[in-house]
Amino acid sequence: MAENKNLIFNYSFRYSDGTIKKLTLELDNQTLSFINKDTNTPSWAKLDNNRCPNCKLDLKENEFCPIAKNLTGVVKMFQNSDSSEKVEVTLKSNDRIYIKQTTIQRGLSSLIGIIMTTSGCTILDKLRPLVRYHLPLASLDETRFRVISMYLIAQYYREENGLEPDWKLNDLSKIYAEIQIVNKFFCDRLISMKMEDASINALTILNCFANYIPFSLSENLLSNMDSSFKIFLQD
Amino acid sequence: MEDKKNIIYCYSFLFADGNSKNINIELDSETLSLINKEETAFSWAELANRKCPNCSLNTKENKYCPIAKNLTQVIEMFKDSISSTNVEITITSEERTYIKQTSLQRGLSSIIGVIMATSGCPIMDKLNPLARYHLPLSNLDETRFRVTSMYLLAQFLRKEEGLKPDWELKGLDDLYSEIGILNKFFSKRISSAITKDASVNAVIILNCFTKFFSPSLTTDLLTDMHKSFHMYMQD
Repeated sequence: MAENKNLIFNYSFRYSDGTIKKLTLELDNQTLSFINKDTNTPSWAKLDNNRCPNCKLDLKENEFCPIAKNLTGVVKMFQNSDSSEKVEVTLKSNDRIYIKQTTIQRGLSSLIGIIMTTSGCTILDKLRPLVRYHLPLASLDETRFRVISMYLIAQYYREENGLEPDWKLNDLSKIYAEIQIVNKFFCDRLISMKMEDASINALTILNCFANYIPFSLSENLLSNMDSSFKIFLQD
Repeated sequence: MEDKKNIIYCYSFLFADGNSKNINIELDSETLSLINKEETAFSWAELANRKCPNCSLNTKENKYCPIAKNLTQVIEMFKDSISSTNVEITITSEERTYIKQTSLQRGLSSIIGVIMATSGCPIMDKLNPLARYHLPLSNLDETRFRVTSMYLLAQFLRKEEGLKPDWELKGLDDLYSEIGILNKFFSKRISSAITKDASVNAVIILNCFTKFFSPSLTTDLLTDMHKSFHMYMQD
């Protein structure tokens, strides 16, 4: 954190016909909170519409689901897109440019991942520390390494602060179970938008949802990862 | 690690005059060892020549310093270059392409970092797990996050194996002092091999990283990073 400039992620999607769609995400450098300049919020984004059962936000204080509110711009821009269409995705961050030929779906998943974790949803916020080191279009293996290692750093800080650390990663599975509930209900929310306005097809976004965190925490979580850690496994 | 293909990082340096230089780094996907197809090694690469005082390799069994041997190609290619030259660096990996306008020495520093951690040097091998998730041209903040989290993951795996984990990162400080010694001696070794300064400066940059890391690892370095982990600081 050498500087206090906001974090800027400039995503652009170049289609084979030359069309380019661009989206800029801006995060507060300190809190990593999403800075939303779009004030127009549709009714599908209301918190009480398909609210997640594990949501801890107070309905009185929060008219809108914070993630839904911040996703409005993306939904508008990509409505009626074919999620499997091939595009060149470019992300310009403060540090470097990343490029990949992939599908709209994978590109959008990457961008949606940032919005999900920086909007103030108390469940997804647990993944927010990763956003400072955002890796666009991360593979399953990369994400797994990033999530687990971030979680371990969080435990290091907990211990430093006199809190009990979870060195066994027990609660990480709980976080993932909570996130799965959010995903399911958020999909319902997106479907409700279609019922509300038939001209909006959020299917593109919906397709991106399943894999914006492209792995599930299962028993073989670390199975393949430890081959390169052999050097640490001796006394 | 769904497949067993080797990991390849293609570095390309585009100079202002239109010339470009390319270097491919190929790693075994299991062991993350550098695959060196170059047989030539020069006398400056001999292990006995300016051997690091903390080197545990046997001079009889190892004619060459494994890092020096693997660096020969890079040194030969860039020995007449000026470190501060501005270049456009493109790195292509299996996952994506990375681009940055920067100085030659930052690019070389990135390549040299991978080579040092994958050559079989018993000291640098401790950073070997990072090579799988190599982030080209990483800044100080990114490196710090990556090293700390990789080290914690190594401790998690130690614990799983019934070994004593070092959750306080004490061994990381030691590791970095060792690397500091290595960098100092390695810079001398390289300076005996070259005419101008780009490669030496690249090692000097690496040295800056380790210096920054070592003395106050658990104090100011991590306090900064701490801010984005506040959601883990409650019970």
